[in-house]
Amino acid sequence: MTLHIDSVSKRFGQYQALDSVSLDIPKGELVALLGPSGSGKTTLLRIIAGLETPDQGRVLFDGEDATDVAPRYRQIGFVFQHYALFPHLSVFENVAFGLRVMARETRPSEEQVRQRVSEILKLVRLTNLGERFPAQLSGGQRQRVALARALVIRPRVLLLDEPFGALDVTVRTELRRWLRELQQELGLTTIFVTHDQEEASAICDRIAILNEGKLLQTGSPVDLFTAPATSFVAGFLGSANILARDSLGAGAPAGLAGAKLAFRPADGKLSPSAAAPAPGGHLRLSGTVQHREFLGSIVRYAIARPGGEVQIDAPFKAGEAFIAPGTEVAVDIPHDALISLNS
Amino acid sequence: MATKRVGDQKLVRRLLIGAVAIIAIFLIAAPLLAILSYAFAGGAGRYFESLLTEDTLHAVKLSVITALIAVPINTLFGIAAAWAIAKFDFPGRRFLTAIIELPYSISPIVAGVAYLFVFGAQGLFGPWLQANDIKIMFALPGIVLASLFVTAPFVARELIPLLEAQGREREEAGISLGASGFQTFWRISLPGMRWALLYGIILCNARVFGEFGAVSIVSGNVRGETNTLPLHVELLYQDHNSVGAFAAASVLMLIAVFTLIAKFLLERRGVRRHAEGT
Ligand SMILES: Nc1ncnc2c1ncn2[C@@H]1O[C@H](COP(=O)(O)OP(=O)(O)OP(=O)(O)O)[C@@H](O)[C@H]1O
Ligand SMILES: [Mg+2]
Repeated sequence: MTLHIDSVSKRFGQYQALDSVSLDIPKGELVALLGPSGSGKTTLLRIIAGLETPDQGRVLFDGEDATDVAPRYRQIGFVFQHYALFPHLSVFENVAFGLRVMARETRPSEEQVRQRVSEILKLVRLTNLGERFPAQLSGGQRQRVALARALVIRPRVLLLDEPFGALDVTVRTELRRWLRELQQELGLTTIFVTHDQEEASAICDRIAILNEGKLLQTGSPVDLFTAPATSFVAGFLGSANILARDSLGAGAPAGLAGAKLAFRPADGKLSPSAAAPAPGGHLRLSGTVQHREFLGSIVRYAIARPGGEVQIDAPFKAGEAFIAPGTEVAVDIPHDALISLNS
Repeated sequence: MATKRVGDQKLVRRLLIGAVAIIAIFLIAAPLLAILSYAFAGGAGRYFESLLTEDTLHAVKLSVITALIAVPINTLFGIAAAWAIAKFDFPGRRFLTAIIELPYSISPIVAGVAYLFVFGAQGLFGPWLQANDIKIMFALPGIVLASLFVTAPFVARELIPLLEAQGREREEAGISLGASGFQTFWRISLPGMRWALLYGIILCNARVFGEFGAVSIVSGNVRGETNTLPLHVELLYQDHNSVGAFAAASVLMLIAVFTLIAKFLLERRGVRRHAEGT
């Protein structure tokens, strides 16, 4: 199903939790909603699910206005940030819940329920745990029960609110890969909330970046990484050095129109400041090494300069000497590694 | 040497435990035993004979009827109040909580007198009630009302912290899975609070049976008519019928013991630790 979110706004008291957010999601696409804590990610999901009413704007499913449809009729699979499993029901009954509460005319028979739940449990690889209770499961297993429970109603849209937030890194990586395969297999239109940019980039078709209730930019992970529109996006997806254009004087390349320029720490090359002038097609910054961190495959230098500090990641080669703090250095950045930002 | 925690000295510990044990024996266990020994002072025959007198049976019946009315009403009230307070945000939430807990801090006698002022012959609605031939004071309705007042907080008090800890997510999950409000309440909310609810109901019931002060004001103490069990015990005692009084009291004691056992079993299920919140 296609999902249209049409300039949705929501206030809580004085706080503008969502500010005219619009987002279109074609059928079968997985969109990662990425943003810092408090940016309104959960609020947006809750509005789509009907658990919260927007002050303004509309939510459309397949082009049909669903803003006033009660949540129980929306047929949306919602996986909550903290699972929200039913503790007094077994795994099997948790998953069966959505079938057991259906209207009498459409409710499947006991046998159909068994069959359907077993299918779903197999899909989420929990076949043997049907008799257990949520308290007897690991975090990853609970997460999959929550997912199975949402899938059993054949949702038109799947909403996942930081599904892996509470899990450790290995389980996370495994589950997110599995989730992506499952989502593609079922062709489910899905929104996946996270504040982990790596997780977002790894599995989604598109990323939507939310900050302070505003949708800043949407695009494929590669697009957002290579062409962020604002300094917030540039800094949120990977790290970035932001330069005010004014601080560069005549050195700024003429082709880039934005008020600010950004570059990735790995794109700057360090050399002793006294060395030859900047090679052609490069922007040169000069400064003093402030600080050095050895991070394994790279060495991260913080360089103090008049227009603010920049970070440079230099590849580490065994046997090579570090540059000592206090050393005057030049940073050369190729023009094509510079990103022009609007703000 | 390892640092000592407060109360680590053996002497202090033994003294404290000993003192508490002695006090408990004198204040609680001894009177309970006294009840039994007085009740059976004239043998089992006398015991059952005085238990089965018409007035005593009537008092038991009245207490049971009162409980059968008051406990369900206060259970429903407790669920509704706890639900409203724990799951909704509205101005005056804290104030409502304080109001619900008021009966805890008011002497039951005061509550009884207040009802008298409202519903009694000289009271606010007295003339109107009399004109319409409705009897509240010195009758079952008054007894039920007083019991309701005194036991109003019991269920709500157990449920509020539990429901607050549980939050709204489970119900929201139920709704988004297609359940109606009623289905969500019946299949998710109610089972989620069942043990705490039972705990509250048991305490509420025990108090309804045991309430003396408020009921004694509004019931008028008419033997064989408006005497509940505790009032009847006092009446028998004043008649110097100690076997009768203690036999009747032993019924109350039995309820207390059942309550204690039920409480113990429920607490072992972790009701008070909000294990249902996981
Ligand atoms: N029911 C509510 N009442 C008042 N304020 C709320 C309510 N729900 C959310 N907010 C506020 O709206 C803002 C956005 O909240 P939201 O839960 O959508 O953030 P989030 O992006 O999901 O954050 P996180 O990553 O921490 O989960 C927050 O500042 C929050 O305090
Ligand atoms: Mg959230």
